[in-house]
Amino acid sequence: MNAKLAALMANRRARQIAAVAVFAAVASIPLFGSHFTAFIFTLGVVYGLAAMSLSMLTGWVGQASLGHAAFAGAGAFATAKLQTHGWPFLAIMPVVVGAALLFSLVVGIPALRIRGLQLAVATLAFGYTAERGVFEQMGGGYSNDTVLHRPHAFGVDFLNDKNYYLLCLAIAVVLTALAANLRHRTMGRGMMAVRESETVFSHVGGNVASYKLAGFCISAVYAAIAGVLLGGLIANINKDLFNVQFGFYILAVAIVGGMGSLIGPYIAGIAFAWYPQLFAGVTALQYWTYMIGGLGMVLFVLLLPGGLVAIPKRVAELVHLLKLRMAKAAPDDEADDGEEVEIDLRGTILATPSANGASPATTIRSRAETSLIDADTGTSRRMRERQQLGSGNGGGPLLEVEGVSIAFGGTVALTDVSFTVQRGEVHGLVGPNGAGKSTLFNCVTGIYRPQEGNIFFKGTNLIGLPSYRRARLGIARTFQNINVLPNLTVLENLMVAEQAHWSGNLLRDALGLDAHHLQEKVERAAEANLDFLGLGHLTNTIAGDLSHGTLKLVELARALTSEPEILLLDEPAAGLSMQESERLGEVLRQLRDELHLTVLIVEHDMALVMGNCNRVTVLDYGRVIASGEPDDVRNNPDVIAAYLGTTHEEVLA
Amino acid sequence: MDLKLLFQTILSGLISGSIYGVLGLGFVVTYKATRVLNLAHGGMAMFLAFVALSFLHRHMNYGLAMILTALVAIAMGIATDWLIMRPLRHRPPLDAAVASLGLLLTLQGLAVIIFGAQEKVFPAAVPLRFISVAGFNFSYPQLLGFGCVLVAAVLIGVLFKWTRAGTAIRAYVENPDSARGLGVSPLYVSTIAWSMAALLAALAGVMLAPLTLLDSLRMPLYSVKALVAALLGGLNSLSGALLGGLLLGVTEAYFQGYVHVRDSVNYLPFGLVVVALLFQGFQGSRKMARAA
Amino acid sequence: MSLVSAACGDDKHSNNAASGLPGQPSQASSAPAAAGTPETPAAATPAAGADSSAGAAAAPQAASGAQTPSAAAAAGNTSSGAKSATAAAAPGAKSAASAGPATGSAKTPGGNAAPGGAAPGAPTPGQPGGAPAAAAGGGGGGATATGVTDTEIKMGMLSELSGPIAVYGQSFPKVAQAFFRERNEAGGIAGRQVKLIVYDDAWDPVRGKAGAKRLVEQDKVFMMCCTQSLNTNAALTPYMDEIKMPYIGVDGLSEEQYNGTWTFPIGTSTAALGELMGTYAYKTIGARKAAIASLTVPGGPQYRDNFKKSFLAAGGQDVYEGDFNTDSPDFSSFIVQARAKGADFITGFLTIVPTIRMEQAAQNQGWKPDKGFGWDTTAYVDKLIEFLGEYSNGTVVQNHMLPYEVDSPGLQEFKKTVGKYYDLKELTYSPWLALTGVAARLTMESIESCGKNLTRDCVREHVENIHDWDTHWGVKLTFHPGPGVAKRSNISSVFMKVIDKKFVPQTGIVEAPSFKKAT
Repeated sequence: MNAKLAALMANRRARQIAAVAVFAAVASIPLFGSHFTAFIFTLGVVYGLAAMSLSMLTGWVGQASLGHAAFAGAGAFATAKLQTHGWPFLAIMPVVVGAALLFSLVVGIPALRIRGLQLAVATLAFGYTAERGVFEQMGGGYSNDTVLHRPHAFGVDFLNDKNYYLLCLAIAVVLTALAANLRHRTMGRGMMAVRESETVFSHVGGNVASYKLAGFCISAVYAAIAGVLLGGLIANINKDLFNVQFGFYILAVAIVGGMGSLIGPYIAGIAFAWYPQLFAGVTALQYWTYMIGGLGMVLFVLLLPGGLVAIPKRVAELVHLLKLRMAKAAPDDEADDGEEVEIDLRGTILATPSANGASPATTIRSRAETSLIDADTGTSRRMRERQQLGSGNGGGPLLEVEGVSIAFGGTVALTDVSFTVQRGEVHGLVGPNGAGKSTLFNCVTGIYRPQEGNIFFKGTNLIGLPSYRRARLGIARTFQNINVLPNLTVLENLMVAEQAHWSGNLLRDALGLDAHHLQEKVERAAEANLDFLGLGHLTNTIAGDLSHGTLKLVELARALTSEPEILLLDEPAAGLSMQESERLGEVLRQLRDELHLTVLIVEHDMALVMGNCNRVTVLDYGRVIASGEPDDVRNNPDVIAAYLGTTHEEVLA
Repeated sequence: MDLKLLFQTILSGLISGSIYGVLGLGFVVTYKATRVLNLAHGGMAMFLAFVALSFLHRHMNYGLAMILTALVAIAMGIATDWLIMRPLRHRPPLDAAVASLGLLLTLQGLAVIIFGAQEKVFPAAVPLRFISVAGFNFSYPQLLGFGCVLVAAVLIGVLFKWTRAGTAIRAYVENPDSARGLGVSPLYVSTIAWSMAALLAALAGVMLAPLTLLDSLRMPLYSVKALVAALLGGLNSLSGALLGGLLLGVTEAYFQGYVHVRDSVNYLPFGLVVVALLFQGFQGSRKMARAA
Repeated sequence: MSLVSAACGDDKHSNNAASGLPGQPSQASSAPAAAGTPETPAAATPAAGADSSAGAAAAPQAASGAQTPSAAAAAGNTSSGAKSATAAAAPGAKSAASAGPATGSAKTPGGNAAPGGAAPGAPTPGQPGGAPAAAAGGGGGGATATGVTDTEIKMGMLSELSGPIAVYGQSFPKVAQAFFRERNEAGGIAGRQVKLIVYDDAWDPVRGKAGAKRLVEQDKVFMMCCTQSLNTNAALTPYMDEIKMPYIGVDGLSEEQYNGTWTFPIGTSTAALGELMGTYAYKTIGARKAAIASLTVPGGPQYRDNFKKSFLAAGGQDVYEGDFNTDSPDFSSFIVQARAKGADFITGFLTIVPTIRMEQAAQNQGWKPDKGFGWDTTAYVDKLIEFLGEYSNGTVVQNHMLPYEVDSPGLQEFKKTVGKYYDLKELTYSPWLALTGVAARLTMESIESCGKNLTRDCVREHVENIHDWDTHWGVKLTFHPGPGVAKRSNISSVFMKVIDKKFVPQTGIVEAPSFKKAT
């Protein structure tokens, strides 16, 4: 195992070295070519940087923009304007960043209400207005003062194309490195979580709006810097340089390079910069090049999902496919190890002991040790609170639902629902389908806003608070329909829960100065939680590859990682085998008894509910018809009539 | 304020607006049914107008030329769907958008190769005569253009509301899963939608060409504003796109006439979008929020 | 979207459009050129371009082919050229390898030449034809500058071969090509053939600048000329100053082009055109209230401002500056407003399509301004009449020089020269077509004035001192050294009117007074 790991690491190191070598080789081509080569490469790098800004926006936050040319233009025009006032190039850069931020807020804040292609079109409108309105007002570039002079700094003459190329390359490398760094930090993980599922993100304490806005602003700043560099390359800037078509163009570069990739856009950018030069010497081919370029783009998108950067992956897939074919052709061959492992990975079952073979108890201890602890006391704030308050019944009310009513367009979902969850108890919420259980959960976690009534958590009224604030107060949940982030690994899924604890600083995060120990701790807590639920061996598996039952546990682990005080479980046993739900019951008790967690559980599995809950509340047609200890509820005539007493056949009849 | 002038200004705005609207309808149809942002729509309009023109140049009867163009349009729609959009069905939406961008370039290149780079006069269906009402002149082509938009809007509405294909599309848009359960094939829906979009493109192209001269590069540019118009309707409402187009056209004309701030008219597309977002949100986004 | 690539001027006689010498039976025939002076005083030859790619490329051929007398001649010639290269490197200083021109050029080909024993002697470039030609060519003047060899001068040009005005842009290179070719066939300039390399600029400054870089850095042209691309020339003017390369005969519409010391516009600027139109509209056409549609391309605002100034100064009452938008499918609201303001004259600096659409919009309202329309030069194309028919009658347009309708020596020359190689009917006519021919002539004359000893400085010095140089189209050009107004060689305009669906000149050459040089 260790040897394997070492080999893997060595392999990775070798690949990194190879990548750096290839990069250095490609990047230095222009230094040996003519200034024209340097010009084209610079153009490619600038296209790449602009496309990378889109790649981040779409690949990370899941937003789309057709109007990024406007930010590029804003940067270039601001620079040219300030240069006429004698500002030195370097002093202008902060202003450019500021201008881009301002612009992006103007678009970003209203655009928070929309997403996907609607946002793309809204940004297109912005791009149009910027081109024809704002830049036009700034002279449109048709006067003598819209010349962007390249910097003359550090004693280097950047009028020399090769020097300018190196400058652009250096800026691009730094910005890309910052982005890459960001990607592996709280901010980057959060962005990707937003892309995958806004609901999940807000329910672990992440502020979706601010992340979307931050993603948009960062990408705008990158685009603006690309605009400045492009302006410096051409010198005379005008609005046509940053028109709507340029926005389309860089989107195409980003798609061809591979959305979400940081390197792909540069490769694609250089390809796009070179393409028009390919036929430069051929007579009367110019309209064929339109067509060939267009067809090429269509074919590329059709045949190469994921763009240029995905080519190795596609090749690997092809090879794998071929291997499978060959394996089929020769059935006597031993099934290779990879296959077995894969089955193992996908078919995890609950009863599997944790990977390191430790008993649940030790795992929990280790979990407690590695939770978000203060280094000195060895306990987290919330753990401490919970321990001080003791466990079991009588810990005082934690969650109080008071007279909550909600209706959707005439259909009443909840009417005057009131009940209290005591600190430290496992509280069951049951009722027939459509009784309003999930609606109630959604009211507690902030997806719905009840028309009447209040919900108190630790004495704070939750009404009006957004989901992420509630999550930060200590409310975590799982979903009836599984809600994981399918394209991220299991560990990354859990790491998102750091949002509940992080209120960080973007710049420090990008530079890697911030939240380092928080990150490590969350990581350790997440691993401990996985071990606790018997998922330790799945840490680096892509969540989308896992089975339904396993994903339910991943969700639970994620909820635990946010270190909640109350855990809302929405039908955790649905789809689990008998054995699995027994194990779930055990987990529930452990959560309560050993972690002192309060649990509110919606479940149809009556054995699970009655066997593990301290108290049970029964909903029917949006009303509370009974509340109390399991035995009392079981014998309540209303409950029997509404739900428990009727057999399945009778209900159907 | 001179009422006559105002009226004339609004009329002029309505003409631009109806063209934004018809182009916008085409965007909405494909977006609604297949979630594809078809950036090639303006290019399809341009190309189909060239096709119509080449029929007309063969001294064909106007009506016949239009019918043949419609057939070509349907073929183009189906081809686009089968060759490009279907394979991209399960891919991120921007992939399809960029593929459509590629299609736009392809069509522009093809148009120049086949029809030449020269701007072309596209004959109007009716001669340039005027009806004068209380001192206002309406030209026949303007009136015909208006008529076409109205007829197209009504036809599309009817198609969506009362025909089997339309019902299928609506059902599919409302709830793809249950529609699939009822036997509505998503492939059927997308084929219908793309041919309908191509037909709308042909209509828009043939309407636009007599007004603007026909050339391969400019016509797709009008679609930027048509897209904005469609967005004002939430990008998935047919009537919204039409109304959005008219709103954009009329406000533009009004700004050109009465707001004497240079280039103020160019702030409109984004301005309207922001206003719509701040005060109401789009139909689609509200729906989305409720569904979440 | 500018995904489109460049291409070269096309050419009905030859598919090798990259070379300006189609129909030339290869290089050997350039012998007449070489007939002149067998040796050029080496010391006086500033061989700044000793490192030129042409030299490098030709090296192996020369080395393998010509070891005999020519080798010696070549060696002597170039090595001495190389000596002086460093001193005279200024013009080529920006080019890639020019850091060490002498050694650099000697070494690279030297590798090839070594077996033949002619190591230090860099070959006489451009002599693939073989020994005799090389021998004769050795006296052609040598590589006096980058892009110049004994037998060849590389010339660069950009044109809008694709993009929004490709219809016009595709014709320009043909005209330039025709003038150069005619001269080449007559023996070239001082024994050198002009080789024209054309790239597409797609009416896009990025592509334009890339094209220029390619011409300068990769093809290593001697100079550039004849580009009639408004969008590109603004971006190229500072670049030409930076690399100190003459750029002769550009369109001159936008003000930026007058800022350089190496760029020589020959068309009339929009500022001057606007001023001329303002006066003419008031005094001759009799307009009192004008409406102006301003297009925001380079030069557009200047046309608007100067029109307004001179129109009001002449006594005009009012100028309505309409906001209008070329992306609008319908221009009628501009016309509606112009009517409402009581405009009796509509003008503007527009490209041809908006011009036609503007008149169409008025036509659609069954209205025409009392004093008609008056457009700047760009509208001067037969398209206006073709599209609008009867309605176009009365429309006034401006030209930079005498128009094609007037039988001028320039027109004769144009027909004779261009008609020799191209079908004149296949060209798309615009004022710039004639300007391109003038540009080619001016370029050739400037090169010729330098004789054998061709350098960039020499060409610039010649152009900036020309005085009353006859374009043959009624206008005489005068430049002065230095940037700014000194570069404004043409401030003229000829007004024409559409009468019975034909352009009829209304004036001779008129000049914009406030742009007159203080000579």
